[in-house]
Amino acid sequence: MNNLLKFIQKYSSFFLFLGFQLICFTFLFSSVNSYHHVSFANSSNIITGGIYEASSNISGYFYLKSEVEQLRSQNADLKKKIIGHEVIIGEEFTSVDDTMYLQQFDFLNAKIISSSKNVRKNNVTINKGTKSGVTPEMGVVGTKGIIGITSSSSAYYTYVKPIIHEDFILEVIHEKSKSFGFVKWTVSDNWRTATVVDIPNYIEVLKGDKITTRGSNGLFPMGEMVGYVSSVEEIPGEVYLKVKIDLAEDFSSIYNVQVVDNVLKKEFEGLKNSQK
Amino acid sequence: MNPIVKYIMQFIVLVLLQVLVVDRISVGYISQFIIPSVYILFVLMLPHTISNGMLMFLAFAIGITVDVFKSTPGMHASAMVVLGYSRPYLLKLIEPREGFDVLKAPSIYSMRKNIYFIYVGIAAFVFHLWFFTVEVMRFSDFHIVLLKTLCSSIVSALLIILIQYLSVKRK
Repeated sequence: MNNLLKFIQKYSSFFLFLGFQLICFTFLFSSVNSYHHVSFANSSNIITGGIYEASSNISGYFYLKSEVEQLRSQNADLKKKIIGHEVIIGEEFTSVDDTMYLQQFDFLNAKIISSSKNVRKNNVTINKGTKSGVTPEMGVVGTKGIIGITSSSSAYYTYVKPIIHEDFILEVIHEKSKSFGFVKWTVSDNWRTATVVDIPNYIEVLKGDKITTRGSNGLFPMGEMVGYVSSVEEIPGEVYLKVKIDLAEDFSSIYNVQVVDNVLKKEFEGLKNSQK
Repeated sequence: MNPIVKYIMQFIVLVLLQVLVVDRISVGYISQFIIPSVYILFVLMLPHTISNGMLMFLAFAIGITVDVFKSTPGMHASAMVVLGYSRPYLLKLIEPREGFDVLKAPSIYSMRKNIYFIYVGIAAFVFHLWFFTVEVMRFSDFHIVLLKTLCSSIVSALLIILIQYLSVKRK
């Protein structure tokens, strides 16, 4: 017993080192296992969120020009979609009854107050929280393509898990063939690229093809832009392709985003649970 | 100034410098390999006479603060504790024959310049190697980890020396 105590005393700083590492790795593994990252305080809390917002209020002025440019091009795209700007061909007598249509997706404007792009678990923090009706598990779209999925929110801030996070996964479709796959962010990707897996190898995928969301889990509307195919690789001995895509959204310049609220989400989830 | 107040101010200034300035530096595609951490300077500046336990505790404290800002669960804290644990060994390794002046905290003016460069360089290398290994959490992509470690620690060391020249008063 005495020898044991002497031993511990001699190597006390090493045992202290092990103790601290144990604490750190507890944080690390508890966050790997939980989907929401909630076990660890993150940048959506009030102090760090406040500091980031104060700083982005100042530095935001320097990016106004590129921000305006992005909004302008998005405006132009939206204008093209207005019915009045298209020539209707083959018009017949149709009646539009509003009770037939229910708007399924609501969009809430938000601003990005902090984001990272160079680590394996990147994060994005936006300045809307539960007070504005933002809850975990909502889609977030930028001006060019999807950004990610909200994962935890406080009263005024929300933490978003972007596509460029190693745990991110979302069902997508290859626009031309309507074939499904999953988008992932692997070790060989940087913040401009991602990888789509599970597209069968008899599908013809060409460079430049669009990859869009499938809308299968109700987080995003169908057909939101994800990225463009940059290269296709056949894996020998496997029936699936490995498709590299260039992300539509440039994660080095994101400022304005919209949070997607699915009005029918509760109904959809109730249906899913009743299946079990 | 009271040394405790001085160290608290260094703590706050270095954390804010890291998360509000250094993390926003972007140099195009190569910035995925250059992720400098300059707040490790806090641990490098603590006095020679500090006990090992206190050193590791302060390293852990600044690491966990940066973790909260960057939403990384415990990764910076883990790498900082490694740095705090290895600092006494590192100082012993590079100690010149006549020894260090233990009354002055390690800085570019209290040590010989070439020894200080080695001190900062090795410390940055140890920190980044541990950090990127924990981040990837496997050894199959070790060449990427090594590349990131080399690039980031060289840039961090240069930034730290720059900060030292800008902030520490010559005595």
